[in-house]
Amino acid sequence: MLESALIRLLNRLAAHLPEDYSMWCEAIVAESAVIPENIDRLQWLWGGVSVAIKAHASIRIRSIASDSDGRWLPAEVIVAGAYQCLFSVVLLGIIVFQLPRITEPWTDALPAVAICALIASIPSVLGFGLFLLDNAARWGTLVFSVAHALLAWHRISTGVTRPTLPLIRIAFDAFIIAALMRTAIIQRFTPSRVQLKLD
Amino acid sequence: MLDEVRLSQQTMLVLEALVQKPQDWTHGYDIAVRTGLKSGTLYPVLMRLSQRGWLESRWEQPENNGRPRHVYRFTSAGRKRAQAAVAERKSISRVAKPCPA
Repeated sequence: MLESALIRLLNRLAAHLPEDYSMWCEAIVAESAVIPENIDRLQWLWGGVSVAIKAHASIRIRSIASDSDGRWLPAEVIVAGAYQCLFSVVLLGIIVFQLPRITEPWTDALPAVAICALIASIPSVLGFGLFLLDNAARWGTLVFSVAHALLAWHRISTGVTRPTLPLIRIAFDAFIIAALMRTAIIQRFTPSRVQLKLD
Repeated sequence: MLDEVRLSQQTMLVLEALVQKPQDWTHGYDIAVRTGLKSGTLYPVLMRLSQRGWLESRWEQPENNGRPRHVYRFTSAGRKRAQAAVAERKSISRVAKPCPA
């Protein structure tokens, strides 16, 4: 029963993989039929499931971290995009943890919470835009990083917060700004001109 | 033209297993038995070797009308590279072996 469940799972995972990967999953399933011991057969199939899962993960990561021509994104862009996404996750987490403290009726609080959540998700939208090499997202990230660095500097200079963490954030914002202003990076974000031929 | 393959310990085990009968087609389970590798380790190695032109593979129909099995053997270029890599590994391990006191 466990064996047929693993075979079904492996076949299902293989069905969603490109042919050059799915062939290997089929090979593992086919090979399992000649393994004499039950436990060895289960281990074999489980290994196959892990191969299929790793293949799915690597294809997913590659699709996020590469452009439409299959070229890997520059490391700085991946780091900047991941930072923006992480920033959103932290902001949304803070909102979620604040929810139990809301004392107003939900009908009043809900629009405000929704607007806050919408604002908190803006960095992740910029992050995904960076993964797609969208030039507007690059500009948005630059503006966001400058604003964020200035705000952090203001907080340090007015003594609202201890300087360690804001200084790290400022350094990271400076890194993002410098990275996204590099000529090589700008070129990757600039779409190649479509050549029109009028016959 | 062959692409480079990182010759990890697992890759070397597979090469050593296949290089014993380099012309023969070998089943995945036979390689697993000879190398002691689990399927989750063995197949990524076979995939890499195949993608980079070291191995060729095909489906083999068994005589008793059973399920077709996937079999592997070296390409001619892959065989030369594998034999060289295995020979190099053996010479290194011979040099690295401590002398008897």
